[in-house]
Amino acid sequence: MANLRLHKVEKNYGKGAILTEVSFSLRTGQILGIFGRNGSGKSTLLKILFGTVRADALDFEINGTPVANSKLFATRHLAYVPQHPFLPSSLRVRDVIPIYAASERAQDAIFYNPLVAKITAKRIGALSHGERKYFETILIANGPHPFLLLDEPFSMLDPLQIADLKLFLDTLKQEKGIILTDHYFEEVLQISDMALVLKQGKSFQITSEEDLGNFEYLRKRE
Amino acid sequence: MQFRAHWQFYREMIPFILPFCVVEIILFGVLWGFVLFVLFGPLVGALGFHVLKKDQYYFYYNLGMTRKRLLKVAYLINLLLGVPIFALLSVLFYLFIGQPAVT
Repeated sequence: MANLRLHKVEKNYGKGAILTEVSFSLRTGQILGIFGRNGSGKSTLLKILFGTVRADALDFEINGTPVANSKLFATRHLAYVPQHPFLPSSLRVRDVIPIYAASERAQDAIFYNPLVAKITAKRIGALSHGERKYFETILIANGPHPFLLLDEPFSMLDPLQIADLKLFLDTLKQEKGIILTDHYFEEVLQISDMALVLKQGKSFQITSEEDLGNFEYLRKRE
Repeated sequence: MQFRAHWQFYREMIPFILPFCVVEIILFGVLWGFVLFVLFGPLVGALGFHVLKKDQYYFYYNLGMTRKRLLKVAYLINLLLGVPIFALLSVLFYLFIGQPAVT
């Protein structure tokens, strides 16, 4: 069972501090939901953990071994599905899958996903936003990495795709640890084993929708 | 698998490299056009990619490829493609213009 622990992360852009005191731990079998208003540093945090953005200070360990910021990317323990579309538009869905999935078994897991099976002949650029986002998540999620970072996986998905993705992530967590952030807070709360909210650079553990109101992510209900 | 991803990265850069190459050949001739194409073509391509297709880097990052590695392999592909193209252009120059491209 793999685990990761973030003790501390600091990130400043210019004079503004984006992340100051964020900490959590996660192991395979768990889903961590991260909430925060726009600009609260959710995407920055995920990119730091993936290794493509340098933190000003980072105290992070994977399986009990500290990992320096500069070595994070090379460990390849984490895969990241960014918020924005990232697959080359000119490629067909069926051509992208073998690039990512080496074994026949891994390819089948993607090809035979009911929603992916319908779009394999299409070019990435011809997919709807929802199809594209869904396919990107399924593609990366089936990789060998023990941890998966998802930045707004539900955005642009239709209700059926959202329901399907929730089921998929619930099954996937048996073999991976998942960190996801999305403004579809009800969906995130439903599938998360734990959750935290980012506010003014700090992380706070939450357990309910009411907590989101307390931390001013949602309007408080009277 | 990895080569296909590198080849894809190079293909994404072609729309930026090709006009650069044509301009260099028109301005400086086949020989210097070729030299500049080999030396600076991938850099121009990477710059274009960075400006217009930056989000696509995550396609390669998730395969464990860094920008540095992508650029290195792009240089190699550029050289391997550039030599036969240069040779072909030289022959065409000789056949149709009647003088060697490189003197």
